[in-house]
Formats: sequence, C-alpha cells, structure tokens
Amino acid sequence: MTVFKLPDLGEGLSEAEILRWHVQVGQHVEVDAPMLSVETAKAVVEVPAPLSGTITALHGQPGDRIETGAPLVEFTPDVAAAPGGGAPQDSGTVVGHMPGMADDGTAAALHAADALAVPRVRAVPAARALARSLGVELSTLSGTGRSGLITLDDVMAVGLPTRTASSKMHPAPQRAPAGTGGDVEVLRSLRRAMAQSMALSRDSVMECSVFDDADLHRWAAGSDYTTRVLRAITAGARAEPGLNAWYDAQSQSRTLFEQIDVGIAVDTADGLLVPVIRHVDKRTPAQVRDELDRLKRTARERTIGSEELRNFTFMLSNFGMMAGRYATPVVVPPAVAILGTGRVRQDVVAVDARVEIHRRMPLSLTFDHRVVTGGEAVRFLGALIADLELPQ
Amino acid sequence: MFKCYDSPMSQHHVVARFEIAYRACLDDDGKPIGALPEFVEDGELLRRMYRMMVRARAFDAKAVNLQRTGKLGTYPSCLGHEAAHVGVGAAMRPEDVLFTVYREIGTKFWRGVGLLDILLYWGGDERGTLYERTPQDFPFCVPIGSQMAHAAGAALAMQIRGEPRCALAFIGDGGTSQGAFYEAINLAGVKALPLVCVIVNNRWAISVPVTAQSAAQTLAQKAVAAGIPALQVDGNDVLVVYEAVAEALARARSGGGPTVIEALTYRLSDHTTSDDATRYRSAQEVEAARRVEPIARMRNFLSARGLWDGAAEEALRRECSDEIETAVQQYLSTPKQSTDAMFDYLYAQLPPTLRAQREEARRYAAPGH
Repeated sequence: MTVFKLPDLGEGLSEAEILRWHVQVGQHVEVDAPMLSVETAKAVVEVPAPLSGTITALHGQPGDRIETGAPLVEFTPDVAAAPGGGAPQDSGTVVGHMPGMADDGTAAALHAADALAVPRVRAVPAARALARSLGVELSTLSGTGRSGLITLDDVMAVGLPTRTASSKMHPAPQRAPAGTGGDVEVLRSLRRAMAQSMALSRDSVMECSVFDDADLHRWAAGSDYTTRVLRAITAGARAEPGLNAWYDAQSQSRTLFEQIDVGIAVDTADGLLVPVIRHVDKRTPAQVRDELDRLKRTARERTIGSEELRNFTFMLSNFGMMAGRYATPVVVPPAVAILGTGRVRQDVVAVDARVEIHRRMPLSLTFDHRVVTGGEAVRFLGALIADLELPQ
Repeated sequence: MFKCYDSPMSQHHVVARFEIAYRACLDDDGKPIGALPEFVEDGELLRRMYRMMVRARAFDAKAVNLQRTGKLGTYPSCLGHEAAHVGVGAAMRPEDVLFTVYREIGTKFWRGVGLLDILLYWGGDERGTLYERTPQDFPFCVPIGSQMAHAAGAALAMQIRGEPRCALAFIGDGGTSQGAFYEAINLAGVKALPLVCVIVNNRWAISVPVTAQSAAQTLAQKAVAAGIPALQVDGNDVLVVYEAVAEALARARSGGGPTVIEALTYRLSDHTTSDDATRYRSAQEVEAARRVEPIARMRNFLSARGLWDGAAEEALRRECSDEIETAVQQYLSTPKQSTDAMFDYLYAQLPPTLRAQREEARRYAAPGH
C-alpha cells in the first residue's frame, strides 16, 4: 500500500480544503489523472494521481481542511516500486515531500536541538502575523503541526471565539486545589472574546482616564438617561471630532468620523456584548430609544446579527444602572475613547454661597493617549457635560 | 505617431518619426500568409522545431503534476509560449549566450539542456543549471528584468573581445516596465552591442494585464527611445519568430548592433503553480487564445506540406512520454547534495563563521541526506 500525503501546493502553505473528490474507493486511476480539487489560501487546484493504482481509502470529506503532510489517499499501486525511485511504498517516502527535504524524524531532531540552544516558538509566518493582529501570545500555544509547529488553526482556535476547536489544540486547564470544589470552566464564546479583546487593548492602547460629574438638577421630569447621554456624546464629538475616531497603529493613521455609531456595553448571562446604535446624531430621541430597546432585546436573546456588533466609532458603558460611581472603562481598538456613566445620586453641591442637593451623574472618560491629547479629551468632556446639563 | 502641438506663435517641424512593423508567416490555421522565407525548404528544420514544441508542452504538463503531488517546487508553466521559445532556440548558434526569465524551457531544450536539469532546478537543486552543452548560458533569472543587465554586460564583453557571438535576452511584458530593461537597451543602442532582446508579450504579468502595464501601442516601440530597430511578430508562429530572430542575430554578429523583437503570445496557464488565474481573467478570453495556440497551427502547416502525419504524431507522443518518464525517474532517484554545497562555492577561502556553520550543518545532516 502507498499513502499519498497532501503536499504543499503553494509556497509554504500549511493546509488545504477539500472541495470535491473526482475518484472513489475501489476505483482504478492512471498516473496524472485528476483525483480531487482543493482550495488553498492561494488557489483552487486539481491534485492528480501520483501513480497508477487502485484506491483503497480517501481521507476527508468536501469542506474538510487537511494539513500539509497529512494522509489524503491510499493506493494499491499497479507495479511495485522500482528500486531507487518510482512509486514509493509504505515508508511514506514519496509524496508530500520534496526530494531533498528532511523527513519528519530528522526535522524533529534538528528542532529539538534547536530548542535546547535558543528557546523559541516555531510557527508558520502566517500564524505569527495572525497572532500579532489578534494579540495572541504564541508561546502560550502548543503547536499541532509537524514537529510542534504552530499553525494558523492553532492561533485561530484561541483567537477567534466563534470557532469550535478540538481540545487537543489547547493546553490542559489548571485544576483547582483538591477539596476546594471549584469547577474548571474553559472560557467560551463571549467571555473568551472579551479576554482576547481586553488583552489586545492592554497590549496596545495607552489609556488615560478623566472624571467629572454632570449636574442634572435642571432636567425636566421624565428625561431618559441613555438617550440624553447619547445626545451629549454627539455634542462632545461635534466639539472635538478626535474622540469619534479610529486609530490604526500599523499605518500610524487615524480616521475621524462624521457619523456617530456608539457601541453600548450590554451585560448578558453569557457575557459582555456590544451592539452598535448607528447614526446617533441623525435620530430623534424617540427613535434612539426604540433602537436601543431593540438592540438590547436582540442582544440578550442572542438573535442579534453579527454586523450589528461591529464598527462602532465610540463606546458607552452605563454601568451605573446597577452600581458604581467612577471607573476606568477600557478602550477597545480601533476606537479611541469610551465613556462610563456611574450611578446618579443626590449630592451636596455649592451653588453660589449656598448649599443645595442636586442629582448628579458621575462621568468617566477613557481615551487612547497615543492619538488623543488630554486637551481634546477634556474639551470633548466639557461639551458633553454642557449638553447633558441642559433642561431638555 | 507623435502628436504635434501646433502653436500659432512658433514654427515647428517634425524631428523624429517611427513605425513598428508587424510580421507573421502563418495565419491562425497554419496557412501561409504570402510568400514564405527560404528556410521553409528545410523540412527537417521545421520538423525539429515542431517536435521540440510538443516535447516542451508534454514536459510542462508533467512538471505541473509533479508539483501537485509534492515532488517538485513551484513551477511556472510555458503553456502557449512554445513557438516563441523554440523559434529563438532554433535561430541561435551554439556559441551565443542565452539569458532567460524562468519559463523558456523550449529554448533551453533546443540548446541541449536536459529534462532532468529542469526538474532538478525546480526541485531546488542547483546542479540543474550546470548545462553541460552550453555552459556559457545563464540560469533562469527570477528577479524580473535583471537578466537584461547581465545580457548587456555579456554583449559588451563579446564586443571588446571582438568575438562574432551574440547575447540573446528574453524578457516578459511586465519586465519591460523595469529600469534594468531601459538601462540595458540604452547601453546596447549607444554601444551598438551584439544583443537581441525578445519580449515575450503573453499579455499577463501575473495578474496585471498588459493594458494596465503600459500605455504604449506596442512594447517593441520602447526600443525607439534607445535608437534600436524593433519589430513585432506573431509569437505563436514559430516560422516568423525563427526568421526575425535569425535576421537580428546575423545583423548583430556582423557589427550591426542590437534589435528588440516583441513576440505576441498568450499565457494559457496560471502564472505559476501558486497562482489561480481564474480569479482575474475570463474563461472566454483564455478560450479565444487557445484557438490560436502555436502547436496545432504548426502541425496543420507541416501536414499540408506533406511533412507530418498521424503516425509521426503518435510516435512523437510516445517518444516524449518515454523520455519524460525516464527523466522523472532519474530526478526522483538523484542523490541529494550534501549540506556542504550551501557553503562551498561562494568563497575561495571560507570565512571562519561560515566554516563553523558548515560543521554544524554536517552534524545535523542525517545519513543519506
């Protein structure tokens, strides 16, 4: 029997996806006859039969991703291998490897020796790039590729929260001490996404927070907190557009937006979701309220579309609905600022020479100091407070 | 033609004009267009050219399959270029020096490079560039356009030595946008170097169509700026390629200076085995180009002259298949080079750091590798 392993069909490709089989088990094929179509990161290609023979096994279904070097087709060759060449036998010398390339054993020995000399992480270049962009630390991964090579899949398994990955791709979770009764829970879905985006923020954003209070004493009865805050964000952004923006550190460029799309942190049973209310600046208060209700409902029901969770230009966390006065909310790139609103309370305030009791809303503004100046941040905050303190 | 900018305020007259001739011997079906050049009386030459085109195509298909089954590295197919490549090889003399890009196996085969050599090269083994028959020929040159500078230098050396030899350089349509191309033809024009440059215009520089590559009507006319004669030929017509290149080489050999020939053809394949051309060009365009491909028309021409028949075709196919099979087996059983090969040919005296690396590589090289 001869095992044909998936070769590198491009230049340094780590895998390919099966599109279609053109052959089946039991079928006889001639050398160079098309066996299957696969799609790599670069191209759709036809893989021909490496020899003439009868197919005894096919590995993988259309849609499966096959790693370079993994078994793909098994044959009974028509003729035994010619000495020194021709159809190779079980040893797997053939296929999937260029002549002159070390086999797995040699490679492993070399890399093991390497690892002793200089500890380093082995990863395909594309996996390195992806890890960088997702903020995944490569040294925390165990590679599943040849000789422990970290593949794109390994990075995506931890970097992309929606992907369900097999357990072999992850290091074993740390167990709780015996007798403590704690259950290990591997983070999934929303909580894992939060872990990733917070780590990315920590590793890239230079955060700076500023705190103040808005006096709501003059507010008309029945005012809606969140719609007023959203309107005030619009006023702040009009006064200082530098906070309604994205920053791309790679190209050191920022984009200032005319449109104001505010991501609103919503606490759900599964974790944090950030639905986006678009065109805050163009909607009437009633429309803002309707849209807010719809977004919160669909977010909590988890029926919200993924496009409604993307591309906010500013973020709001109204944590004070529950408790808390000030906080240092975390900027999520590429956005450059986030406003946190604390619990509205009765405060003792000095009015001229008198003491009065006013309702006040604590405000916490965090901005990315790489791209926003302190002056811009406080001008934004000042305009926001001025709007928020209007009677209606 | 140049636009003249009329001004009522000044006198003007035209100081330069140019035109680019287009030549072809055969139509799309292989029927002669007008009188044919004299060499067509040499039936054996015509058959040899046809055989070499078929051989190149058969080898090419096998090479792609070898890459797809993990036995060869990235490979650039020559599908559709066979007439342009073989016509040039046939027109050259053995003592001339060939500078290729990376597709021109038809030219290399004509000059005696073996199938095994080409397999070794694309399998990552430098021994595939030894070229026993024409050791003066340069290896494939992957950095686009850079072979033009090598060719101009070699042509200058021939001129200084007073040798009746020529440098022949291929370049692609995309390559003519490179500085090295302009620099080389400029020097060739000024010095009247024995250099013939064949632009194989296959319409696609990977995914860039020639219409996005240059605003010039022809690529041949780029030679006008260097003061070099230029013409355009049907690159799918092996007869006209041979005729034009032979004329240009004869002129260069006798001190008449350089020529630029643009051969119009079409890349029927992907750019390389790492490419997927369906992502950027239409099936209709490729199908239209396939109808005017070079091999069928040459076969029609030979058959009409009584120089070829079905039996000859079948014998040729069998011969090519056997020859390719033998070369593939030789390739797969060629012993690998020792790791020393990475170090031994760069320095007369290997520096200490590289000596240490060579030792280290030897330690890690398992027996048999």
